[in-house]
Amino acid sequence: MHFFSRKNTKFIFAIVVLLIVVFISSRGVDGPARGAALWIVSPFMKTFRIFSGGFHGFFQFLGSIGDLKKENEKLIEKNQQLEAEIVRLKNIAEENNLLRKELDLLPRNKYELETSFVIGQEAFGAGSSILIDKGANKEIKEGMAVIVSNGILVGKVSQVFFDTAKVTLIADRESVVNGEVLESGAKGIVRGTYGLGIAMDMISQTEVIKEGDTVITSGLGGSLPRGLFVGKIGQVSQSEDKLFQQAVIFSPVDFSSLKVVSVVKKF
Amino acid sequence: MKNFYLFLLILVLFLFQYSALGVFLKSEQIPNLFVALTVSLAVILGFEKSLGWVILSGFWLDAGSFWIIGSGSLALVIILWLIDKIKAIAEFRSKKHWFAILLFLTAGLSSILFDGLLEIIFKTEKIFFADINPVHLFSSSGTDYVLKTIGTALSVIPLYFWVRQILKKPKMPLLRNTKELRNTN
Repeated sequence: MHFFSRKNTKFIFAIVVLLIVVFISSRGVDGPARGAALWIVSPFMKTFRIFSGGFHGFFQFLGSIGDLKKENEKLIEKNQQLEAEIVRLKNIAEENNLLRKELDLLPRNKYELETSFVIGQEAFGAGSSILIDKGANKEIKEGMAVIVSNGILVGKVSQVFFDTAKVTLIADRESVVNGEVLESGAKGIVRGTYGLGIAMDMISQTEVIKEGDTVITSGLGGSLPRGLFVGKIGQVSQSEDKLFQQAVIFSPVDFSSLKVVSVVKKF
Repeated sequence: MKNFYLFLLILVLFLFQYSALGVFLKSEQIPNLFVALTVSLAVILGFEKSLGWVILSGFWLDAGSFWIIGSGSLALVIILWLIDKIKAIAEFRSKKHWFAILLFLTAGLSSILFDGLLEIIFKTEKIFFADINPVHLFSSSGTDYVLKTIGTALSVIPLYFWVRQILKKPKMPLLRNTKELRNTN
């Protein structure tokens, strides 16, 4: 059997054709093809996702019946604490409004949000990107912030198709967000780490940061609004070159089970 | 009709791979159903007849994964060619248990090979096209990776039987009629 048999020739031909496809795609022309493919399957993806979610939720519910009583007690306690907190915050809000009037400041703008279903996730690797069911048809643009619970940052829109968009989570290794420690005002860069972890680095040595401090978006660069909650600081350490401090951040969001997110269209 | 069902199967696999399985499993644990399909097609149809289907499923894989289109297909075609080179597995069809074990092992090894090939492809792409975001398939923890590989290896068994069922030749009514005629005579 010689090397250039019919089968091997077909194999080499297929490889060459695919290499050409890779080359052409890398020039950015694969967007419409990918968009068209996702446009065809996105309604089915949504249905599959909702159906699977219901199925999963039902079995999770069956499995968790035993823990419900304990959880209920905890939630009642937490609810009481939160109610007290709401009353306190309402007072502060009223005071804030009065002060803003006195100082003749405009009221804070609320975000213009586009609520979207998560219809897919990265199926290989660390799972640091998701697919949502809104795209260019709803004026979603690259770089827009994606949040949950009206203020917790989960990622940024990284690719937009006609009726879907890819969101790169802040836990992605390539993700970079300007962050700020609320308590001290220390600024740094929030990056994704291996797996679905987040860390803040490039924090100046002169800044005092401690475990439990709150990290928010600083709004530097203007691409993300200021004040989106990123997470709480965990362990603080020195960078390898000892020039900066770095800290592990614990996000309150479970990135692997996102169902509904909101895209910040205007802020 | 067979082709249509096979096309439908690829779409259903896509929906499971990128939408449904993510609800139940961590992203790092999701089995690679497209590798399992490639193994099944290679064993049932051989290289030449399944080449088109493997390229098509590779394109869907690329479309869902946000890699450069063609990368996943490239890795799947290499796997298809390699499996076709090892024809021994098909000779065990009559011994069901051995055949299932061999399918399991082939799919597991193919899954690891697929990830390895993709890492090489991505690194090569990164050399030529610097603005590409690298993808790291081996970045998941050891346990997750083992679970994913086992999942891929297990999924090949039902997939093999579905694909075989789809591709089964229909009974030819004409021939059956001739037989019936002979019997009545």
